[in-house]
Amino acid sequence: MSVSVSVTPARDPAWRRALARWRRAIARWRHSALLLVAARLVPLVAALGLWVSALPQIDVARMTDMGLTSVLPLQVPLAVVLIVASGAWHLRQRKLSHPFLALHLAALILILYGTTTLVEQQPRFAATYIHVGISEYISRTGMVAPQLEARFDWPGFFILTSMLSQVIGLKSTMDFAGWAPVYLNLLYLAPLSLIFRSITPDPRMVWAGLWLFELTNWVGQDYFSPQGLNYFLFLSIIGLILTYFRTPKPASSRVRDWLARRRGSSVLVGAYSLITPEQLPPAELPSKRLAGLVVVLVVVFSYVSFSHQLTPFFTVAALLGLVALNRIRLRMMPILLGVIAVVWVSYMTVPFLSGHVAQLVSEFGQLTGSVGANVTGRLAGSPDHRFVVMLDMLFSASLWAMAAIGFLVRWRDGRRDVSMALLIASPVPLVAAQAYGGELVLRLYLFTLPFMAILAAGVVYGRPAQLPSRLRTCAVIAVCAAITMGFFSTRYGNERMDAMTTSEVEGIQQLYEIAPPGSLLMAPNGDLPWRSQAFELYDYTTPSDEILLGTPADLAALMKKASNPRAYLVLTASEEAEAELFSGVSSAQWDEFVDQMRKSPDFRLAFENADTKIFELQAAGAGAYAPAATEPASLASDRTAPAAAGAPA
Amino acid sequence: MTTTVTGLVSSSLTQHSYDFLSTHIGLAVIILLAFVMLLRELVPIVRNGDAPLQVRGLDVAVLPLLIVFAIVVLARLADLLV
Repeated sequence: MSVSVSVTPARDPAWRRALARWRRAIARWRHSALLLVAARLVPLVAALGLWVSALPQIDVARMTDMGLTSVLPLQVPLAVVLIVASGAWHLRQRKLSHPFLALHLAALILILYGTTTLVEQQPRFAATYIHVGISEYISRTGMVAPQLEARFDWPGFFILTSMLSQVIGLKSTMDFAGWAPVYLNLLYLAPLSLIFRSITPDPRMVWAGLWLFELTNWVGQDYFSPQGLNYFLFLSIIGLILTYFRTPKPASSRVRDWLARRRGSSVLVGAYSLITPEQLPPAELPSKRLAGLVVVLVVVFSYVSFSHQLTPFFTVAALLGLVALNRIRLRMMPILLGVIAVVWVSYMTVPFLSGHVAQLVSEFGQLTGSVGANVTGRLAGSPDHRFVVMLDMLFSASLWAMAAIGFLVRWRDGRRDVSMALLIASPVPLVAAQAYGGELVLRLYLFTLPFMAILAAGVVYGRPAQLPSRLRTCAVIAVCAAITMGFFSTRYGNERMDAMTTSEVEGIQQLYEIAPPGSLLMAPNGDLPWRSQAFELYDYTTPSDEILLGTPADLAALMKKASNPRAYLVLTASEEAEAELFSGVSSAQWDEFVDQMRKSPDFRLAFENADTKIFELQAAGAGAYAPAATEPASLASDRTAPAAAGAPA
Repeated sequence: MTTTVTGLVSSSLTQHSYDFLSTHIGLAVIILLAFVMLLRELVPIVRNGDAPLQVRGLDVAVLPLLIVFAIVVLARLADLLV
């Protein structure tokens, strides 16, 4: 008894003292760790503060033909540079904090892609409203209508968004259309990191590649569109195949033996070894799961085939390139996916093909014509707009050059990124196959961007053994600052016409109030927020900006040719911007045309607000007003090829 | 002489319209082709690359089916062009 009494009081204070010491130490450590984290987050918080303080200063109504940069306060690019600098400095640390870098990347995406959503009154792009209208039609009728619009031939995206809006309980898909660039770019990060990790285990290069991708994704296809979603699926298919099905040793001994028996065998064998270097071993999965993954890939690709007209062919081209040099073990996959894509086009898009097959066949192989439509054809319109187009080209060429340098830097270091080079080169022949309304080079940039971004990141971060020096980090920050300015100029260079105002949206609402179903609705160009409702109830037509240079009498004659009981001409501010940017129709010419319309006896001003004017044709078509025709006959002739109307950029 | 052009084949080709042939027989060929190609990918994965004979057998089946597929698609395109 006496022993226990004497021992216990002696042990307790020592134990408690030790505990107290530990507690104090942990508190000190936590205190300093928290301080450290807080100190590291200062640049990020400051950048977000700068950006938020700049938002009220952005007056989109004052934009010139240079786009958003003409009204963008310096704080916004400064905020981006601050985030990039903070991230780049962190990449110099021996131990990386992934949550810290992820937070920076999320903030970067918010600033780069969310600024317009916050400062503009309505979702951007006329095409967004058409896509909302197609989803609305599917929600309302439960059907697709390929006879109304070519996009219905690839309805996957619209069916999905229509279902999603019904499940969530939204009135319209418009509710989540505005933020599409932000959440789509966040979504792209996961498959992108899979792709990047297939060529390097170094997290620095992966992070730098992700940052560079977001800073150079200027093409603007990440809006509420089939392309935006299908690009994610394209990245996922490529990322999963590269992760789980890459061949660690692509060189075939049979091919090498065969080459060794030819003339000049040493050169041939040497060249073969150069183009078939070893790569990292694939991630391991049990064989049954791998088999399941193959089935999933086929199912996902089938969805892509019925959602978008271009993505399936870019996917097949990319996989063909990888199979050609045995970089992946799924050798039959590109043929299987190609069959699925061709089957959809030849069996399920007959309404579209029957009107366009001759044009598609005639464009096939016309490389010069395609390049002309994609490059020189875009150099038109106002001087500022031409300057923006030149910047687009310069920006893209610079990234291609950076990617080439990164490839060579890593090559010198013994790292052969042949898969990335193949993924960049393999879709190029598609330019010869189709002009895609002068847009294929833009899509080519988009589909090769991830592989260019990771190679470009290799210029500085391509050597995993070395931490980037201070000098190199400063150079990275300087280059990223230039890229940031280029990004805002190129991505938002057409913002004057891409931005839609509340006045315009209200004006279009009024149009649907005024015009009885079955009416002809005409606009000089398609850059206005219409067709988001009552998709099938009207005849929509967009002849060209040339009508602005003619007389109202000519226009009246054109409108009377249609047999619609009523006809309306809609003029909006964004149409005016497009006419000026792309067709060189000056503001004075626009105003003169509007004046002529006001005075014309053939037209009556039916509605007017700050940004919209609606003129009604007097005594249109057959004369007496006929009640709604659910599917006006002339709609079939107004079907817009997706090539021409698919994308706004 | 042995021939694959039997009475059944010739009567089915002559008695049915082009549209029927391309949508029914054509689709059947395409489904078979897709199935064989998918199998061609799955067999080496499930057998851990230890099934060269089965893979070769499937490769042999793919080629004629691909030729039929190409003919079906070209015929459909030609029909649209005409």
